[in-house]
Amino acid sequence: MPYWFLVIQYTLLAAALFFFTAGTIGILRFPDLYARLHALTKCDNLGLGFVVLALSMEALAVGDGWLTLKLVLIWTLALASSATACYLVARSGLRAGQTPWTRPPEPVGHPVGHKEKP
Amino acid sequence: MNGALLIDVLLAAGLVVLAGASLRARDLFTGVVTFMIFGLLMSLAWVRLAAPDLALAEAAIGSGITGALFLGAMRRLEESAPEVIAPAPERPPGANGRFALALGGIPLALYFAATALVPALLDGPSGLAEPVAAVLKESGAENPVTAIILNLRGYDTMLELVVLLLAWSGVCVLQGELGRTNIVPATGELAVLGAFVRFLRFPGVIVAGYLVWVGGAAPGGAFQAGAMLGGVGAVGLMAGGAIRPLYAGPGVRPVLVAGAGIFMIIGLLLSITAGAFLAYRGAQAKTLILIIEILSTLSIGLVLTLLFAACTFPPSPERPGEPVEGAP
Repeated sequence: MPYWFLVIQYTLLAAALFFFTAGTIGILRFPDLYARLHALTKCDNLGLGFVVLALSMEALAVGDGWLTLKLVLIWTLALASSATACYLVARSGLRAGQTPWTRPPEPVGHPVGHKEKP
Repeated sequence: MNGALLIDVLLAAGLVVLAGASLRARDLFTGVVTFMIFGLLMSLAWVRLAAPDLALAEAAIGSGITGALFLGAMRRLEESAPEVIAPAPERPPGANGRFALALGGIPLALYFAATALVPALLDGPSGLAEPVAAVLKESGAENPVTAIILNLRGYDTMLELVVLLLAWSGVCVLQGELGRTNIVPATGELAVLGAFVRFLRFPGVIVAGYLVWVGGAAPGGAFQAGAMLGGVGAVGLMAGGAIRPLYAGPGVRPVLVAGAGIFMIIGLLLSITAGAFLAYRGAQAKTLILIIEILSTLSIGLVLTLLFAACTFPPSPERPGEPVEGAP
C-alpha cells in the first residue's frame, strides 16, 4: 500500500476522532437539550462519515466494491435516522416546555471601587 | 496493556455499570434507556467474543425492539397507572456503591474461584464446534450457527416462533385483536417521521432480505431480518396509519402463522418421507431452510410490529356495536 494512501486514511480517521471527541464534549458541557443535540448529530454525520470514508478506501484498495456500498448505506441510514431522531427529540423537548438556553445578560458592573450609596 | 485488552476491560466494566444503573434507576424511563445502551454495548461484547450472530440479534432484538416495546408500554402506563412510573425515593448514601461492588465483585470472584479450582476450564474443549463442522456439509447451510438453528436444533426455532404467536395471542386475549384498535392517524406535525418511514421502507426491506439470504453463509437469518422488518413497522406505526393494510388487512393471520406453520408442515412431511421430524439433509435442505427462513422473517416482523402497536396504542372500538375484549 502506497505511503500517501495511509496518510490520507489516518488523516480521515483523525478528523473522525476530532468530531466524535468534540461531539462528546458538547453533550457533556453544552447548556441545554438543543445545543446538546447539535453536538450529538455532529458525531453521527461527520464523525461516522469520516470513519466510513477511511474504511471505504480500505475496501476499495482490496477491491471489494460491495463492502464500500454497504458502508455508504450504513452512513446514509445513520444520517437519515439521526436527523429524524434529532428533530423528534427537539420537538418533544419544546412541547415539554424546555426553553432554549440564551446567554445570560452581561452583568451591568459598576466601576471597581465604586460603592452604592444606601 | 495492549489496546484490545484495554477495550475489552472498558467494555466489561461499562456493561456492569450500565446493568447496575438500569436496575437501580430511580425512574422507569432512565432504566429503559440505560437498558437499551446496555444492549448496544452487549452486542459490541459479542463482536469481541467473535460471535457476530449473537451481536446482530442482541442489537436488533435485545436492544432495539425490546427497548421500543418497553418505551411503548411506559407510554401506556403513563395514562393507566402513573404511580408505577413515578420516580422511586432517594436511596441512602453508599447504597448504590455497595450494589455496584456486589454486581461486579460476585462474578469476578466466581470467575477466579472457578478457574483456580478447575484449571481445565481455561483450556478445555471448545464446545460443539467440531461435531457441527463434521455435519455442516449435509446441513444445507454454510454458516454453522444457521445450521444449528434451522437444522440440527430446528424444533427449538420452531417452538420460538410458536412462543411469539402465543405472546400475540395473549395480547389479543387481554385487549382485543389489533384490527379493532385505532392507530393514531398521521398528522402534519409528524410529517418528518412520515418522510423518514417512506425513506426507510425500501432499504429496510432490502436489508431484511439481505439478512435472510446471507444467513445461509454468514451471520444473519430470520430473527435478525424479522427484527429489521419489525423496526420499520414500529417506526411506521409511530408516524401514523401509513402501513395500515399491513396490520389490519385480511392477510394478517396467515402471515402471523406462516413461519411456525411452514416449519410444522415441512417437519411432518419429512417425518413421513424421511422417517424423522425435520430430517432434511443434503441438497433439499438448502431450499427448505430458505423457504422456512423467508416465511419466518415475515411472521416475526409482523408479530413484532403488532406487539409494538399493542404496547403503544390503547385499544378502542373500531366497529361500533362490537365489544372489545378487555377494554375498561
